[in-house]
Amino acid sequence: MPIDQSSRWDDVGVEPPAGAAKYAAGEQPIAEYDNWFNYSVSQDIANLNKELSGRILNKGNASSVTVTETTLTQKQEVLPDNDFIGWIDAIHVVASNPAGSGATLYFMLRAVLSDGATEVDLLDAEESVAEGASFDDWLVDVMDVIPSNEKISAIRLYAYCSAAPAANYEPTVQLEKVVGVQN
Amino acid sequence: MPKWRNNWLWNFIKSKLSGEGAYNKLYDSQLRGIVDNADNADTVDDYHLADIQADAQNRVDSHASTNLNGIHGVIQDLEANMPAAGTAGRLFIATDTKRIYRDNGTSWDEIGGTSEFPGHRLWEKLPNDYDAAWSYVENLTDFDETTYAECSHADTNEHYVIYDLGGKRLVDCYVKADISGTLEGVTIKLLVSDDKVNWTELDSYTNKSDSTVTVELSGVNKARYVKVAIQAGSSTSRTQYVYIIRA
Repeated sequence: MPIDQSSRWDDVGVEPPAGAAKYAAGEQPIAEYDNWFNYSVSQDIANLNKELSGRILNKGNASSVTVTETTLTQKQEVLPDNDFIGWIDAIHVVASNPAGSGATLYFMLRAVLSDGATEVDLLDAEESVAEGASFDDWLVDVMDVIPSNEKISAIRLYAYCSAAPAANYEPTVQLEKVVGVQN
Repeated sequence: MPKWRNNWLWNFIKSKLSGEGAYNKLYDSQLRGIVDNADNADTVDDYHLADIQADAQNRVDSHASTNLNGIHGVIQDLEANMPAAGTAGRLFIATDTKRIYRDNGTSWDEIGGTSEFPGHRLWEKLPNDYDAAWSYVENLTDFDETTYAECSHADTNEHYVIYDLGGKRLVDCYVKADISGTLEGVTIKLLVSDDKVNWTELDSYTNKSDSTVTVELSGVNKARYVKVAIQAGSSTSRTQYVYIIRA
């Protein structure tokens, strides 16, 4: 639960250059530097407070998107409201491949780690949805594949078709919901 | 490793349901919801109910042969409603006569059970032996204490009725009779034997008066043969009444 923060500082001040954030004995304080320090400390406390508190993540994409690509392409993602996702309980994916598409739909779920670039596959292999079939399931035990001491900055849904689908019969995918804890 | 919850749960349920093929499809249908096929009302998830029933019967037969020593099913009904034999291994329990039968494939073998009178089955086709003084002996084992057998004689010989129980067993015998005697008396005895030669007396009573008395004889022993004997001490013609003998 967040702590009600009472400290604040109203002047952002000026960040001292490297090596200047100090006093020498008998020296007068520099107001800009003092302001910067006080303001920064109150901000750091605010960030620590935010970092230490766990908040529910329960969000996703309200509608599906069509898949026409024939190479693995990012179709949807879920981002945390603040910085990171600390824990994922389940991920809901809905997919549909209508009869007449002439293609098999493939999709993959990935987690983006804290560096914002490294992606981790959340599935053993790409999931396939045959023509005329549909998919609606929740992925659990997601955290098994996330390295220790890491955080998740996004969940992404990638998809592609085995061949260009027939017009008006395009498969669809939807990263409907990610449920977990964010900070 | 991450896994799909619904898919995993479904596989888990299926793994807990034994069997394969149509049986599994039956569970599939039950758990996923039976799909009506407008073209064929007898079709469930592309499996005909007849197939499912045949598969189920095969499994019951297989289970019976491997786990139930061939017992395929138990039927209970009034004895008059016993179905025709023809499926070996079935058991029939007669709810009225309390008897149990086994279908041997062509007929029903009586294998057990009892009437409301314990031991009744041992006696109903008896006695096996009795002398000329006795009449209406069937009334001895009808379990009706208002009907009686008669033992009429005008001599001093011992007049007997003997029951062969088919094997040595523990018997708890009971006899009820009306006897009347003279000064020399009329004696009724309850005896048992293993060999029909050497007899052990369980109980007896002698009435030396002309007045009729109701006598109850009883005794417990292990024996194959049971005998009730009536002997007068004089040759005066008398008729004794014996109502019941049972064990």
